Amino acid sequence: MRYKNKLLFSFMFLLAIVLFGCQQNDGNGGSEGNVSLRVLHSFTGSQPQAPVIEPAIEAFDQTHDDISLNIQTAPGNDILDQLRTEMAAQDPPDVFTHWGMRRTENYIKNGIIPDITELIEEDEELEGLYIDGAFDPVTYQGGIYGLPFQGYSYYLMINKDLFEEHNVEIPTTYDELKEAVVQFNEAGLIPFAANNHSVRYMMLTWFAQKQTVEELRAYATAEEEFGEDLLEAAEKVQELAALGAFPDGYMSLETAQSLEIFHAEQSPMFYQHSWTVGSIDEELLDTYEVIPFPLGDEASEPTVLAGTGHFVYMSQEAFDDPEKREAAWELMKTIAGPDVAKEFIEDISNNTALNVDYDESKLNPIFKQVLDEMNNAEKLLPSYEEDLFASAVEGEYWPLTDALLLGDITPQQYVDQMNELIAENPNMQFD
Amino acid sequence: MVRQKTLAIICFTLPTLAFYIYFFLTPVFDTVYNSLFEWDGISDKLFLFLGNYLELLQDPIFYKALGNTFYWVLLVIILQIPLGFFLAYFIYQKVKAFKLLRTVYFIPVIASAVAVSLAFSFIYEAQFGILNSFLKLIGLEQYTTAWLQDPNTAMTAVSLPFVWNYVGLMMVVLYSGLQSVPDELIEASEIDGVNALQKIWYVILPSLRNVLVICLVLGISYAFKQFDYVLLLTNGGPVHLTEVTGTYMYKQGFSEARYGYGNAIAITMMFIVIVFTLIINKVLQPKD
Amino acid sequence: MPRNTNKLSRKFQAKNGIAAIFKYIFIWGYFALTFGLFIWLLMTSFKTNREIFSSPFGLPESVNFDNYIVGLFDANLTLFMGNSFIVAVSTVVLCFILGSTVSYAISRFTFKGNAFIYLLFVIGLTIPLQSLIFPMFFKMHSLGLRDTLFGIILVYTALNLPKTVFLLVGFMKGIPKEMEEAAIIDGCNYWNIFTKVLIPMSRPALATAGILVFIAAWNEYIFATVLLSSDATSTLPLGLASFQTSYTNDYGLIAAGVIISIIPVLIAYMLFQEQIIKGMASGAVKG
Repeated sequence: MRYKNKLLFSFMFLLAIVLFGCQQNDGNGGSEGNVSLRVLHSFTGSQPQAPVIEPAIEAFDQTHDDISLNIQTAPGNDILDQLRTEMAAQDPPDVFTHWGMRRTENYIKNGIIPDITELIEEDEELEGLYIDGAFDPVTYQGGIYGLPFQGYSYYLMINKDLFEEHNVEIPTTYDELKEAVVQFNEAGLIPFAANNHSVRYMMLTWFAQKQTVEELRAYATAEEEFGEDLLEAAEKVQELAALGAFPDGYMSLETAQSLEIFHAEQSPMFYQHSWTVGSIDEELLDTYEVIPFPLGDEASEPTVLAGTGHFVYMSQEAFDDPEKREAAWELMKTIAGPDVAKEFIEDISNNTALNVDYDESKLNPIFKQVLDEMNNAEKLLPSYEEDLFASAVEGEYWPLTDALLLGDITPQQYVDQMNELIAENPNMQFD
Repeated sequence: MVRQKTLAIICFTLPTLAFYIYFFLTPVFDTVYNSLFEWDGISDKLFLFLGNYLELLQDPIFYKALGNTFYWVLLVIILQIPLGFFLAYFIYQKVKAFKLLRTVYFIPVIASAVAVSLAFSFIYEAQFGILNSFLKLIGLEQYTTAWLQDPNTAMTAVSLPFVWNYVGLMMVVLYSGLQSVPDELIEASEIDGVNALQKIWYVILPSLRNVLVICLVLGISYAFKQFDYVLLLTNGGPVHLTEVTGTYMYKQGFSEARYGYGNAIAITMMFIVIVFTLIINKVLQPKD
Repeated sequence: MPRNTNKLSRKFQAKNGIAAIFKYIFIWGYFALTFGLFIWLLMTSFKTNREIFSSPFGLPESVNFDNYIVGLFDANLTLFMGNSFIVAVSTVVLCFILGSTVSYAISRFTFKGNAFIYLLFVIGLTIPLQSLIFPMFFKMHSLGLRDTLFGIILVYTALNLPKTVFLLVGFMKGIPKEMEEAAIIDGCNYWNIFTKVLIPMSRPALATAGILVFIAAWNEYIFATVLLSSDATSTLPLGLASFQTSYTNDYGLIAAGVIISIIPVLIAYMLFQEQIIKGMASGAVKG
C-alpha cells in the first residue's frame, strides 16, 4: 500500500506542478492587458539578430500597458515548419517575422496574410523611412503584405595577409580569379571558405552582372527563357568546383561553419550574405578587406546583389479585429522601426531595410566596407534567392544547383531544367 | 465472482484503452485517412483516393530513400547486433571492471539523438573534424574526405551514429538473455571440448534465439523510426544521397507542405515494418 | 553475477590465448572509443572555438566554465532541463499507471478480446511514431494543449504506452499464478492483488520500462519542435538543437550542452542499473 501511496502522491504532485505551469502560461497570454498578441519570431538563442530583436520585443511589451505579448520562438529556419504548422491548424500567430514572398506566397494567396498597403500609406511616420525597393519582395499583385526590417547584400571578403604571403594578385576578373584559385591551391589553401549557398550566390552574381532589373523579372515570370548568360554563370561555378576552389564537403557545410574556415586562415576568400558580418571574429578584422566581386567577362558590369530579406507580418485575423490590428501595427512598426534598424547597423553589423542615421564611429570596419561597396556599386540588383523566385521554385532550385555543383548534370541541363521549373511556377507577383 | 471479474477487467483495461485509442490509434487512422488527399495545409483538401500511393510507386527518390533505409537495416544486422552480442558475451564472462564497461557502453543509449548528431557533426566535419585531424596526425592524410558528402562514405557516415547509439541497448538485452542460458548447456559443451567459436555458434546463439529475434525486430523498427540523425546531420542531402524514408516523409509533409503525400509515405513505412516483423516472426518463429 | 561465469571465463582463458587477447582488445577498444568520445567532448566543452580548431585533441588551455555558464544561464538550459525533467518524470508516472493496469488485465485474465487488446499495443510498437506528428498537432491544438507541458506529457505517454505494455505484459506473464491464488485465499480482491502482489513483483520490469520511457521522453526532439514553441515550455533537445543552426556555430558551447544533457540520465541509469538488467532479462527476453 505504501508503494501505491507514494506513487499516487508523486503523481498528484507532478500534476499540480504541471497544471500550475500551464496556468502561468495562460496568464501571460491574456489577463493583464486589454489586447493580447501572439508573436512568433526566429531570432532567439544564439541567432545573430537575437541581441536586438528579443530586447526590442520585450521592451515593447513592457512599455505598452494596454498590450500584452505572448512570445513564441523557433530558431533560424525552424520557423518555416513552425509557421506552416500553425497556419495549417488555422491558428496563425498575430504578428510574425518571415522571409519575403518567396516563402509567404502561399499564405498571401490563401488570404491568411492581409494587404497592408493602406496602413502603410496612411501612416505618416513611415514616409521615406524605407530604402528604395524595400517592399518589392512583399509586393504581390499590387498589394503590400509586410514591413521590411532586415536588408542583405552579398559581399566578397579577403584575407590580405594570405594574399601577400603567397604573392597572389587580388582578382578583378573571372580569369584572374581562376589564376588565384590555382595559386592558393598550390599553396595548400582552400581558395574559398564557401558552402553551397556561397557558390549559388557567385553564380547569381555573375549572371546578374549582365542583366537589368527588368530582365531579371522577365526570366522569373517565364516571359523569357534563360539562355547563354545563365549557362556561362553555371559553367563558371562548375569549373571552380572542379578546380578545387571550395572546401571538401562544402555542400553540407553550414554557413557559420564555413566562416570558421576563413577565421582559421585556411582560406583567403569568403563570399556570403551580409548577416554573416556580425559573426566575423573581431580580433582579426585588420587583416580582412571587402573587395568588389570579380567580373565575369568584358560585357559584365560591377554589380552588388542587395535588397531586403526579412519582414514582419500580421495575420488576417489580427487585421480583422480593430484593436488587435492597431496593437499589431504598433509592434510591427517597432520591429521594422528606426531604433531596431540603428542597433542592427551599430551593434550587430546587419543590413537594414531603413534609411536611418547612425554613428559611423560605432561601425564594424568590415561592415562599413560592405556598406560602401553597396553605395559605390554601379548596379544594385535583387538576388533571385531572396526576392524574385516564386515559392514553388525556391524548394527545387537549391537541390538542382547542388546537382550542378556535384557534376551530376551539365550546365546546359541545368539551364533547361531551370527553364522548365520556372515555366511551371512563374512568379505571379506582378500580375 | 464472474461479475466481479468482469468488472475488474473493465476497470483495469478501459481507462488505458480509452486513452490509447484517443491519443494513439485515432491519429493513426487520421494519417491513413489524410493519405488519400492532397493538401498543403492551407488550401482546400482534394480527394485523390490512392493517387498519392500511385505517385509514390513511381517516385525515384522514394526508392532511393527506401534503399538507404534498407542499408540501415543491413547495418543493424551485420554491425549493431554482432557488436552488441560480443560486448555482452565478453563482459558476461566476469572480466575486470565489467560494471564500468557496461555503464560506459550504455552511455550512447541515453544520449539524445540531438546530442549524438551534434557530436558526430564535430567528428565528420571536413576541415576541423577530429576524424580527419586524427587521420592527418597518424599520416593517413590521403584517406581524409568530406565524410558526409562523399558519395562513397556519406550514407555509412550518417548511419554510424545510429548504430553506435543503440549498440548499448542491444548489449543490455543480449546480456540479460545470456543470464538465462542454462549452466548445464555450457558445461556439457565444455566437456565435449569445443573451441570458443564453436561454443558461440552451436551453444550460445541457438539458446539466444528468442532474444536475437527481439533484437532484430527492435533494430528494424528503430531503423525505420529514428531519422533524427539524418535530419540533423545532412537533412538527406547532398541531393538525396542520404535520404531515408523518415526524412523524406518529414520533408514532404512539412517542408514541402505536401501533407497527404507525407502521410502516404508514413503509411507505406508502417506497412513495410509490419510485414517485416511478421516475416521475421514466421521465419524465425521463437521456440519454447 | 550468475554462478556459471567463473567456469566460462576459466575455460575461455585456458584454451584460447588468442581469443582472450582478441576479447580484451575488443572490449577495451570499444570502451576507449565510447569513453574517449565522451572525454573529448568534455575537454572541448572547456575550450573556445579558436582553441578547438588549433588543437582539436589538446587539453584546454585552462578549465574555464564559460561555456557551461553561458549554456545554463544565458541560453536557458536550466529552465529547459527543468521542463524536460517534469515532462520525463510525469510521462513515466502516467505510463506506469496506464500501462500496469492494462498489462495486469492482459496477462492475468483470460477474456474475449484479450489477445486483440495486446495486439493493438504490439502494432503500436511498429508504427514510425513521427508519422503521427500532424494529427497529434491538430489534436493538441483542438484541446488547447499546444505549447503546454501537460500536452506534450500526454503525447509522450501515448507514444510510449506500447513499449511499456509490451515489457510489463511479458514480465507479468512470468510471475507464478500461485502468488495470486495465495492472495485470493487471503481474501484479497483484484485491486489488492494488483497493488500488493503484481506491482511489487514487477519492479524490475517497471524499472526497465521506466528508464526506457524516461530516456525517450528526455531525448525526444521531433514532436517537441512541432508542439512546443515558447521558451517557457521548451525542452532540453530543443535548446540544444538551437545551438547549431545555419546561423550560429559555437563548438565549445555545443559540447557543454551535450554534456549537460547527458549527465542527469546517466545518473538515473547508474542508480537503477541492476534493476534494469533484471527487468530486461525477465521482461523483454522471456516475453
